[in-house]
Amino acid sequence: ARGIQHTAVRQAHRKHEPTFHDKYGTTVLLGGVAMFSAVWSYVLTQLKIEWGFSPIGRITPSEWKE
Amino acid sequence: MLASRVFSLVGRRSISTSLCLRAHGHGVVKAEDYTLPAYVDRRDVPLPEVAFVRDLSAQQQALKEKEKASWSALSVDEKVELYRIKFNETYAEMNKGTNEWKTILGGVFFFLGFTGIILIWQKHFMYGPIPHTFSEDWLSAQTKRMLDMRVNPVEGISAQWDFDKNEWKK
Repeated sequence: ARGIQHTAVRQAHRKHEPTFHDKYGTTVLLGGVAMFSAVWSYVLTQLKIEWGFSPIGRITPSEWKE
Repeated sequence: MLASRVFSLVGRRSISTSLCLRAHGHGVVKAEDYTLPAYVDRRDVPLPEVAFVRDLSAQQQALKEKEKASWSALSVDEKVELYRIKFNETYAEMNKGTNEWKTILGGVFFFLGFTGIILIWQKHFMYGPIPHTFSEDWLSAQTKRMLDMRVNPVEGISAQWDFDKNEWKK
């Protein structure tokens, strides 16, 4: 009986409750990354914001003289 | 006897209040917890000033008595219990990493994403239409004119255009 009590004290001491980070850390990380990539892929491609990218390698020159 | 002589000479009121209090055991202020030596789990403090467990249970007190005899008589469990009385966490437990970085990084990405949402709101509700000089036709004509003028021929736009093959340099 005394041995069991000792064991109980030991286990109560060693087994620390899982923290918020242990329980939800991975979910928060993946959720945050997903939200970030979704929003910014929309902003960068669909939103028609003029980012001012360089014409080099992108624009095909066309005649300007009338 | 000498004291009573002084007593009668000087009168009753001369005995100081603090002496009276001290006689009744009220003279000393009770030491607050924060003024006493404290236990701490730190890598650079291997032997803290006090043991972790301050008030021992009856079982623990019996164990402490047993500790006074030969240590080879102690079982492994008893030795561990003695350790746990003296210390809170082992070095391994103290130094153990956590999963905190996941929450932090997740939060950072979330708020960066929120910034993107602000941009969406701005584009939708705030910005007007972009100038016509950003249309595809205008940009192509503009680029050709810049190349014809040899704008920035050393390291800039004209340096990136192959005038012989009529294409951007690879």
